[in-house]
Amino acid sequence: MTNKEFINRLIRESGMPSKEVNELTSTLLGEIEKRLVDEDFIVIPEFGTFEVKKKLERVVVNPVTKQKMLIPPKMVVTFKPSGSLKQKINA
Amino acid sequence: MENKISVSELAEIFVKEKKLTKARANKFVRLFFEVLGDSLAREKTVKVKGLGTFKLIDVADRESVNVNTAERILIEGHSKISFTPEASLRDRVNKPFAAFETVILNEGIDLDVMTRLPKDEDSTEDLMSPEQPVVPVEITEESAVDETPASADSDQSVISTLATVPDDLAERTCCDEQINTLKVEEERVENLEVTIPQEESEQTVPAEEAEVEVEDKGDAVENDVEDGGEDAVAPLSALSGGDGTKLPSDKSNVWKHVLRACVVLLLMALSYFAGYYRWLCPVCDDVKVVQKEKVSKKGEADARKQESAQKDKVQEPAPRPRPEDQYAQVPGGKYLIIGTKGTREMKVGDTLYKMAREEYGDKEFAKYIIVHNNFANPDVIPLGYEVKLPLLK
Repeated sequence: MTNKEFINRLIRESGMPSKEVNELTSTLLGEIEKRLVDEDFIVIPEFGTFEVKKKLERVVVNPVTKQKMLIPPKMVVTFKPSGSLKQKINA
Repeated sequence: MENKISVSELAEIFVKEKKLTKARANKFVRLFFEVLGDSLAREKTVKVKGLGTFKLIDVADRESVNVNTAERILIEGHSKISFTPEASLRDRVNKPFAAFETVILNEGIDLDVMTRLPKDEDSTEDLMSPEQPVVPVEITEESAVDETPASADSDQSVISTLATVPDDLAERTCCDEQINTLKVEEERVENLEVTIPQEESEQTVPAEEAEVEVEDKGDAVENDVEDGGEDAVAPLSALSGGDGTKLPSDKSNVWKHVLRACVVLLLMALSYFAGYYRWLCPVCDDVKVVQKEKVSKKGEADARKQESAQKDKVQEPAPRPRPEDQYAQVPGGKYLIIGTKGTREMKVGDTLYKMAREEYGDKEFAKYIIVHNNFANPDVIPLGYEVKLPLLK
């Protein structure tokens, strides 16, 4: 499902004008992004948790060339689905 | 900072910016994620612009073993959710580490080398000490105190000098007792050394003066020999005095004594310079500190301690003053503060944690900022305060 389809569905379900839904969505996602940059957890009941985790640097070996590489540390966004969402998708 | 943000907190942004009622804002956020979850269950992939892609991945059946009962159990196939953040979100979150790039390591780089290095230093220490097996007990102390006399030159007399020490050590309670022993000169030399460092320590002699001091020592010993005096301080007062032309009381031995004293002094000077320029022992500071403690335990202690203290004193001006000494350090911190790399003004909503994360990539670095700025109360920092950012090593 593309972003457009998703927004259309959101418009249908909420019964709000499309312009407003678009605005609210971008505001919401902007806020989520800001919170994630601040390293906050975002806990959404019935859906899951967004969290920023720090990955340490590590050494990997290219299996073909045997070339060793040092992967730098980084921050990544992780999403952990809640139990109810897992049930929903496996139903 | 690592707060748990709930839906209602997320919804506050709507209340603030879009003038929605709290209830409506909450409802919208819940609806948003409900629709997202529904769509995901139905369509397997959902792309949300500004957030990322949610995808369902099928996991096949697999067998496993119950850890408690050791029974084989079948885990049924199911779907799991993978979330891939959008590139823009990923980059913004990773901003603190954006400067790092993947490095291709060359062949033959042993990654353990870093952890092994400190041990290597120890082994060089060990190598240094056993060079004089003649004096088993005193070896470590002697070699450390005299820096590297044995390796500097292999003159036998050094060893013989050292060899007497353990014997004396046992009976030595005060220096005067030894005057009757065979090695009168050596004792005097030691006495002299005892007093000279004291003087030096008062004056905190820089390198050049210390050299002069060594020369003076030479004269002083000669004086001492002439006088046959038992008090080592006396010659010191006549330190500026001459080069031993007066006749001493015990004439018979005097030239032998003078000769010996000269040899000993020569060796001392040699080892002094060897130590001073660190010809043979690039990392001896630590060794010496350890040795110093060891020495002080033994009865003979004071003389040697001061001697090594003197050496320490002379050596310390040689290495450049380390920059980390000039700044307050974080106790137990991984990094050393070696300077100030810039300042940042405190703005509304700024926190030290935030600053630390933006500047150093981790909020843990806030403690370095706190220490560097010497904040009495790091929780309250006035607006517009120029926070100094420490340069870390």
